[in-house]
Amino acid sequence: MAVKALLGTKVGMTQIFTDTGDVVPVTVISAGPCTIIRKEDKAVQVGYREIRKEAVERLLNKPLRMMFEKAGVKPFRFVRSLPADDLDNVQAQTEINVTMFKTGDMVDVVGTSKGKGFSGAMERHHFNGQPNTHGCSDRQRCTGSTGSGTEASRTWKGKRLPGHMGDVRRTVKGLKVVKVDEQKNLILVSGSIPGANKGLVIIRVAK
Amino acid sequence: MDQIIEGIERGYQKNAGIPAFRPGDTLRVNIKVREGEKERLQAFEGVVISRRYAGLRENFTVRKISYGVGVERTFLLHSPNISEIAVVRQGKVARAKLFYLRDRVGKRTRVKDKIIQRA
Repeated sequence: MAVKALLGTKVGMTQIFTDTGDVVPVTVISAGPCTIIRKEDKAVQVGYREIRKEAVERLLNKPLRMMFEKAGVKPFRFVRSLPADDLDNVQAQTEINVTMFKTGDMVDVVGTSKGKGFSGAMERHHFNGQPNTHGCSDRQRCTGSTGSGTEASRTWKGKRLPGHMGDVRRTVKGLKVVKVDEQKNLILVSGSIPGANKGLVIIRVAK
Repeated sequence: MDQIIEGIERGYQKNAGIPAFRPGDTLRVNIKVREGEKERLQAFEGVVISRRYAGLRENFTVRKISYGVGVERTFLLHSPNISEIAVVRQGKVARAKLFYLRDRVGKRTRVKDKIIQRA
């Protein structure tokens, strides 16, 4: 294998039956085809989801347009670096698609988790909050103490507090490929993957 | 639902061999049971107390009284482990979910037969 990953879009989840009648929860990913733009050191730069001709001028400034033009490929919405080896056998301007995966392969899926906004310590760090009784009032969901008084006189770095949660890059490792549909460019992997439907994901061969 | 997912689910759905049935009907469900190497059929007969329409995930619950103990089993309609569904009797009920049968004992657990009028 040359290029070891593929860009795709999360479609959603469902469940399917195996031959033995077992039910497998699967996530459907619409993956590729991606065009190789240029080779890098141990990686390739690929483009995914072509931009419509009439939208190119609106979405890309001239330097970006020229970048695609010089590489000899169509302009793409998403450009990412994907890991690859055996680069001598990889040609720029060629397409890669779901045929690089087959049923039974183990893959890692990288995505951007759903944003939860500004979340409290109970939701963000699974704190237990404060008691409802014993004289505690109006601070049932608060963080509690943030540190000691005289000895430290400050709050330690890394103290778990409320703040923005979600909308970060997350990787789920070791998912099994259940099915590959080459005609429709679909991959079905067992279990859930990060992010909302229609989110960009990277599927790569598990290390 | 997303059209791509609908297409995938359609590929796994049974197209034939499912009789029309609704809550209140008495069904006999033949289930494939695997014992070591061998495979045999096991029948489960009882009243349908709920049916959930959900594409590939469509399921139904059958309740029967076995040696005085109420037994309920929920089946996935499109599961390959279900070899046959036969409607034994049609029932006349006024609910979509017959969970009230759980609170009833003896004669009151009966469901009235549906009288099908001849044309």
